[in-house]
Amino acid sequence: MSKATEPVYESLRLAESLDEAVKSTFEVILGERPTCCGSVDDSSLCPGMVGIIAVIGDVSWSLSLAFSSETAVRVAKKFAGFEIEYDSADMADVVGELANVLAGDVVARLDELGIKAALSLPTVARVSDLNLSEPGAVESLRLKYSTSEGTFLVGLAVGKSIKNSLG
Amino acid sequence: MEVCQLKVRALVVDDSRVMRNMVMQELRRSGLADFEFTEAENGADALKKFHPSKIDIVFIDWNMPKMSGIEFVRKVRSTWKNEQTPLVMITSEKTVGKAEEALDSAGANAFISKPFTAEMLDRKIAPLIKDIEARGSSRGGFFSRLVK
Repeated sequence: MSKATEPVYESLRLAESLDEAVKSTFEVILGERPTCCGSVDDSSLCPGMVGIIAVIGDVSWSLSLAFSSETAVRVAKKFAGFEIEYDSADMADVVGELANVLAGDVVARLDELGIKAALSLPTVARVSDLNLSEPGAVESLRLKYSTSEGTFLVGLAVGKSIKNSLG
Repeated sequence: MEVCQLKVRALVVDDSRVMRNMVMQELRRSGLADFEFTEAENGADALKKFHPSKIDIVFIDWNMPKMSGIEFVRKVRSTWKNEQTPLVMITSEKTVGKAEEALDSAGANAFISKPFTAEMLDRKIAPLIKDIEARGSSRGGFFSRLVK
C-alpha cells in the first residue's frame, strides 16, 4: 500500500478536522457541500494551480489545495463574485486565499481540541504537470473532492508524529 | 423628499487584490452607505494612509507581509487613544483566541472570518456605520458628508 493511501490512524482527528473544514468552507463559497471521493495517489489535474500553506505549532503540517485550470476558474468566480482569468495574477491570489481560508478553518478545529498552531503565508504555483509529493513527511494524506464546479485535491503532510499531541 | 446617504471613507487593507475587491464589492452592494475607498497592501502601507480625520472605518486582514493587521490595530489604538475609528478585521483566522486578541486586547471593533457572506458582513458592519453616523452628527461634520 502506498504512503498516500495508507490509513492515517495517528492523524485521524487531523484528517477529520481537514474533511470537516473542506466541507464547511466550500459550502459557504459554492453553496454546496463537496463530496469526498476518498484518497488518491495521482495528481492528475493538469494543467492546474496549487496553493500550499505551512502551519507551525504543537503540530507541524502543511496543506495543499490543487485545482485544474477549469475548476479554478469556476471556483474563483463563486468565491470572488466576478470572473477571474486563469492566467492572471489574481487567480494566484484566489488560490492562495482559498488555501489560507481552509487552513484557518482546520487550525480553529484543532484549537478546539487543545492543539495550538499558527498560519504562515501561502505559496501558489501554476503547473503544467502537477505531481504533488511530500518529502520528509511522516504521514501524508491526499483527498479528492467533487462538486458541481469540478473536482479538487486537498493534501495534508504532517512533519512529525502527532500521536502525543492528539492523545 | 430625497433620501441622503452617509458618505463613508473606508480604508481596505489586504495583501490580496482580489480580497480587497471582494470587500469593496460587498460593501457597495450592502447599501449601508456611500463608500469612498482607499486601498492598502499591508499594515505598514495602511499606517501611511490612515488618519482619523481622513478615514471613517478600516477593514483589515490579519496575516500580511511587512506589518500584520493586528499590529496595525494595536498601533492605531496606541497612537490615537481618544479616537474611535472602527477597525474591522476580516481574516482567515477563526479561533476564539484570535478573536479575543483582536477584540479585547488589540481594540478591533469587529472580527469577520473568511469566507464571509453578504449577510455576515452586513450584520457586523451595520451597527458600526450607525455609530459613524452618530459620531459625525455630534461633531457637526456629518451633514457635510451626506450625498444625494
